Amino acid sequence: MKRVFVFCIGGTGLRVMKSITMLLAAGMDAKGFTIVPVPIDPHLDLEEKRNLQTLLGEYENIHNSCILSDGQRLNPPKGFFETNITDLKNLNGQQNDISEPIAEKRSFGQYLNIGKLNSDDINNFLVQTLFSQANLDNDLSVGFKGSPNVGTVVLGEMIKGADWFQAFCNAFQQGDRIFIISSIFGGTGASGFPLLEKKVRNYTDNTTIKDAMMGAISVLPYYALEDPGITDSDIDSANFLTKTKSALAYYENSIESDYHYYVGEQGMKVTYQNDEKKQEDKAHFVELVAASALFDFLSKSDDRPDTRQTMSRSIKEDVESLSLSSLGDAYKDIVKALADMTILSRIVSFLPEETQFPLTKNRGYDSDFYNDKSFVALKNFLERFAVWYEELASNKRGFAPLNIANVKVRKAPLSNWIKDFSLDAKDESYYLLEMIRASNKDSNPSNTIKFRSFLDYAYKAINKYTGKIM
Amino acid sequence: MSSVDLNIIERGLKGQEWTAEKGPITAGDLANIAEQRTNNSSALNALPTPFARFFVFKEAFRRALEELKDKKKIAGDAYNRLVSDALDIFELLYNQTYHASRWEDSRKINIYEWDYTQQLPELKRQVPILASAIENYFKSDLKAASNKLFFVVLTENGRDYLLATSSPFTGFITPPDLDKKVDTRGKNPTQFIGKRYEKFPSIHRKSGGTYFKDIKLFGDRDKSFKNYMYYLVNNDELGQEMRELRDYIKQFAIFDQDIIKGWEPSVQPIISTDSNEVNINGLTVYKDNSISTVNFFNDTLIKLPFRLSKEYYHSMKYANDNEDRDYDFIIPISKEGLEKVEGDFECSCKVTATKVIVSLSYKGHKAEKEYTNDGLGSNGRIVNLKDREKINFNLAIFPNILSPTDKENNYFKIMAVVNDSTTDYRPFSIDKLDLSFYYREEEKFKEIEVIDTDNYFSKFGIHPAVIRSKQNEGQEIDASSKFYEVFNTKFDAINVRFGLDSGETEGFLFPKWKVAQRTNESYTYAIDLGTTNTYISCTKDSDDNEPEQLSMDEPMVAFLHDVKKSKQHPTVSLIESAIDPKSRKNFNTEFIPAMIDGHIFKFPIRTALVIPRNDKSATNLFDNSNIAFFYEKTTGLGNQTILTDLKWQSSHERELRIFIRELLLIVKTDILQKNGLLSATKIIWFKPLSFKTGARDLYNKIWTEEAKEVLNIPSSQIENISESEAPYYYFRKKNAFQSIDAVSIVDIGGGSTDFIYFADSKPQIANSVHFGCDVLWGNGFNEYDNARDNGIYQKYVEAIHFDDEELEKLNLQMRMSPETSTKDILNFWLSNDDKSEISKKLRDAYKPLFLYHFASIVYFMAKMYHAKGLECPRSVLFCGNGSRYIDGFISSNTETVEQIVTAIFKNVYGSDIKKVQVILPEVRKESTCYGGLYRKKGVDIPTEFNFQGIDSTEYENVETLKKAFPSIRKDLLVNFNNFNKLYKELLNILVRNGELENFTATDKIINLISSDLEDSLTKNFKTQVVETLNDNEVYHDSVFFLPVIDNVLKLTKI
Repeated sequence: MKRVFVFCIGGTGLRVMKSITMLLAAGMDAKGFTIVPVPIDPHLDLEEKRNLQTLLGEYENIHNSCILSDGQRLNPPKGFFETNITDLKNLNGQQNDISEPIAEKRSFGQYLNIGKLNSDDINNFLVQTLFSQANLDNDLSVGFKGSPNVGTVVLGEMIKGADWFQAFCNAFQQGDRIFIISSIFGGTGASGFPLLEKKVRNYTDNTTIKDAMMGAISVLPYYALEDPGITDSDIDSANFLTKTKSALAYYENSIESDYHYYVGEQGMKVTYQNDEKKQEDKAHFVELVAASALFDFLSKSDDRPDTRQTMSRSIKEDVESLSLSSLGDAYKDIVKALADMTILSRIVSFLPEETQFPLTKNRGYDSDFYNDKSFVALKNFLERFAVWYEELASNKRGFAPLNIANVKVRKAPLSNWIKDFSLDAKDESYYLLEMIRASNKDSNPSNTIKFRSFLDYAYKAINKYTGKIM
Repeated sequence: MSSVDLNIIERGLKGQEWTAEKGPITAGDLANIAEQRTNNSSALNALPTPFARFFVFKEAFRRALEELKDKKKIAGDAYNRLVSDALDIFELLYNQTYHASRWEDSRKINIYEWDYTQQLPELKRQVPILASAIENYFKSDLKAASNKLFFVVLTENGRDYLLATSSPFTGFITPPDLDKKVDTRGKNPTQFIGKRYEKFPSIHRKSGGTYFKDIKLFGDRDKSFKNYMYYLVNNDELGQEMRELRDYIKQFAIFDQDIIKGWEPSVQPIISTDSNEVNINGLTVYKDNSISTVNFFNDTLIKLPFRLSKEYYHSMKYANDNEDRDYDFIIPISKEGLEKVEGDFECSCKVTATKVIVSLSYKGHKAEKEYTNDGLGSNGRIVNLKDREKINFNLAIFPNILSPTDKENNYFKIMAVVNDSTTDYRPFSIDKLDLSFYYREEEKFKEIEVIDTDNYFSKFGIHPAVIRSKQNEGQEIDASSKFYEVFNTKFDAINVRFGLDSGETEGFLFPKWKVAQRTNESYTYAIDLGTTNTYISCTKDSDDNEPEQLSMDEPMVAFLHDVKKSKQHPTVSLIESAIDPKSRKNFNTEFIPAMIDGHIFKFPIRTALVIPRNDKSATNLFDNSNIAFFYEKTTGLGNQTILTDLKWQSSHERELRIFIRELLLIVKTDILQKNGLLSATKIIWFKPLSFKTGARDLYNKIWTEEAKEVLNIPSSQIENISESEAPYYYFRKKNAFQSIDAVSIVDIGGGSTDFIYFADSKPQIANSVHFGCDVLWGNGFNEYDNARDNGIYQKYVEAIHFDDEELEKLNLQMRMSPETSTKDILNFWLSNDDKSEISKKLRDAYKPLFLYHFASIVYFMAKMYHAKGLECPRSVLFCGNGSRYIDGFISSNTETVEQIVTAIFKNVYGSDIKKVQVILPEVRKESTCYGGLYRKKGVDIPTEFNFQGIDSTEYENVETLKKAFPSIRKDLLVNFNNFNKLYKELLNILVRNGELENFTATDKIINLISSDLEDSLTKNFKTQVVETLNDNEVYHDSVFFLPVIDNVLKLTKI
């Protein structure tokens, strides 16, 4: 199976990967590629990083619950959690977390061992030319503080001979693809992206890697930070655009990806807390769109384009809260995926209480099933998904194409679940009925795995109605 | 409704799907991105390369160009700062020469080279991670020619500040730590981001503002720099990688009228510490080599509390000047500027309420600088020397006149005096004042070297400065003085530098020399250096006019301050009174008078030299010693003492030489003022008859050497003649004698009395005895300076006081000083007779004393001529300053004096002789000098006759004299017995002639002078002859006066 190695560099890389994971969970089509996220960020204590790892772990658990049976690996059912997400460790059969060495505890100056230069060494002037004292004093454990020139040096060293890069090289096969996610206005992402590109394209040991189809998404500024004068931070978001413009000018001649995606926000920007240690920023529509770039990339043919393709996209209307109509038709797949997942969430939330549901007996969706770790994992994941969507919906600009009815109101009308689109399913019963029909039609022996069948039937039931949107 | 691009730029995508429709974001697209306005450049290192900063500068220039083309596309302060900083480096290097001349030595700029090939291995060894990054990106990103970078480093007090690194894109980039902190409230001064620049000095641009602090884009820079930059970038060799810099600069050429196409640079390449030209990818960096780099002005402008002398110094030309101006500025031309100035130049200034604008123009060049009291920004600072710094300063140059013959301009002495008038803490001292001197050759000013051990044999130069006095209230020294001596060259400018607490300040003075005209007129000077007084007379060789004592019409010293001349006041008084009171005494006592005006300063002067008190170091003219023109007029400084016995003490050779040197310098100045031919000058000096051979040789040597040194005349133009014979020629010329058959000249000086007998205008015999008028004021044979035995002194010491505070102070000082003798004190009283009225007192109370002194001289003379078988003189001429007591205190009636003299001669020669003519010339001591001028060369020299008071026997040496002494004593006692009787008759003549009224002391006096004669003679012969001289020495004096001296002392006590 083809793999796409998704290098998620820096905070934005992690956040976009979260969106990718959510979309994959919701059934976005990865065109059969196994997703191999490779997070790269020297932050030691970034909660977001830990959360992503947890999320990916839960995803894998759920996915594996669908495909693993008595030591056999089955094809995943279409739809929810269909795409395989794995990691380098699994690919290489290693036990240790090979991403750990990417983190660094020292200051940049200590890391370089600048103190070893004699005070009268002329190379001190070179150091002073390239880096400010603040750069040198920066604690690398919190990233590169918007200084890609620092990140380039550190990440370059970290990549050089790193276990994870070697693992990537070992695992990479013909037909596999590379996708790099980073921001252009920060430190880690901005520095890691061209570095990684360069590393790949200059990788002479394996032409498969060197010539691999490579895509990248560069996230342009889409949020602001609190005034550093108030927070005492080194990062001033007022410079994001200035820095982005510099970077874009540099990228104009240096990008080596086949498909280079850009996404950003022109006007409506949310202001986040300016604290590198607490980047708990809410999920954002731009991250979602960035995530969509991976799916677009995976949809491309295996033939590398002759020239670099610089990809961008738009929304139909400049509104504060986006719905399907204001997003434009091209976003239907995302809206559908989110609608599917949220409807699944509703089903999962009330079904354990539904005593009359025929599949309780037919398929064994009983209390044991609902208390099984797979279902619990699904529930948990869906809760995260709900939160994530809520963040998207309430952010600025908001992505809120759904009317999610209160799960407590069982008789709630559901035909307007997707804004600007009327579903035929007027309430929950439509979906339950379609699940029963799917079960009834099912002759797939693999669906003896209850959890697998549950997700399969649910997806089919939901897709029956939401699929009309496409 | 159209789509909204999910981008930072709206490019008008048609659909909402991912599309490559618009392609990459181009530079043109970027131009449409509206940034948030920020002044913060702290996070501009936006690129994923260690060399990000190089690209940011490149982008900054692109943005700046964009704004230049379209004002709506604002580059923003962050970028503008980078552009400004990069331009600052170009400008700083372009003006490197200009700045270097203004900076202290502790600040300089170095350009170091960094070579990739050499340094990368070193980096790999020490900082491998960085080296790896450099290796990955240096060549691909920078493409620096020769793989080389240049670092521009400012060193300030030993601390290095990296200012910039060469960039293949923009020429230079500044280091990130030199970026600026943003003060959003705008209240604080601009600060640099990096701590390493916390103490970075403010460096002002030539064109105004501060490098690296304020934003100054290309259009706001000065014309010269703009043209230079245009010249740099308008260069075919410049690579495409520098297009942003090039296009930015060239864009200005379209509309900026400052930029002149075809501008011809006057530049020279900047050189690195590795001796290579700084060439950055085809862009050679230069420094301005044109005149505009010259720092024509100092940073300070010194304000003097008086106008500079119009006659002796060039001052600036003041716009709208008026008579009331009571200050002047020392011309603030810098040393560098002065060395650049050629030809005629003019310095002018315009004074407004807030500033002084000084301009300098020469040969079509003009430079200008503004000075304000605070000196903020690029303005200079006005240093108000007196009002703010509390410093009084003046300076004097001697002589103030030049010879038309360069080699004769061989000696100039410059005295600088400062007084720090601060009371509690005195921050300024003379050590902190420095002068340096410049001469002009082929229209260019050049500094004159100070001679030290390295260039000891220089043909011209300046002797190291000597501090003579330091301000010291305890020693009664109010001001400090310092001397400079310029030798074998004139000078045309003086750099004056003060090391003030507020900083160094300096400027230039330009002396306005008087220049003697070249004529063929020559002069002869006769200099009579007497024991007490010194005379200088001169005559123009071509004239036959009556000679005169040297006096001048013009000052010989150039003081700084201007003097408004007045007919009511002597020029010297005006000059002196205009000197700051605290400094005046230094000038008066340590230097030469402003002029010998014939009134306040005139010859004769007291033969007295100021020497340092308690200083055993060698005396040097003006450096620590000089003629005491002020002697008996005012007190000196606390560190001075006066030497008055110059003439006779062989131990004072050095001091005598200094005295003579100063006299000759005065003579030289006098000749130049008269437009005389210096090389044709003749000098006559006089020797007493009693001079021993050693003393005569010494004087001869000193006069010859000093005249050669000062006047550059050979020994053939130097003549010495006997003091005593000289007056004869003067009075002979004046036809003063009744008969020239037999004439005696009696020269009564302070220390000695000389006799010459002329017969038929030819000198016959000459004699000198150590018995002058000082005996009257002295203490007999008590040789202690502090002896106070003299009766006259004792009689009046408590009574004589002066209303004049200075004189009274001097009077008390002399009384108290153990170094001051009664002779000095009485001479002081006599010098100030108009205030002390000592003459009247002496005339009233001491006629017998003076008569005794006079009679003993005349009696001795008569006995001598008689012993030699000479005819009784028909005329006796009394000269010498000492002879003034004759008509001053004995009788002003010459007839009475003639009666006395005739009576004495009759006593010796018999009663047949005719009345002896007594000549007491008005010109008394001067007659020696004057006579010297009329004595023809080759005339007979009188035979010296050493007379002991008895007969014509001359004693070969002391030994023979000692053997003969018992016989001599016996005869002398007989003679004294006779003389005392004669003296009684002489007293009666005075009584008869009404000179002594109610005089009853005759017998008492006779008894007094008759007592103890033998003892006196015996004792004094032993102490003054036997114990003083070796047996083989010649005794040039006469034992006759040994008891007379004792008697004179006795008579002072009557």
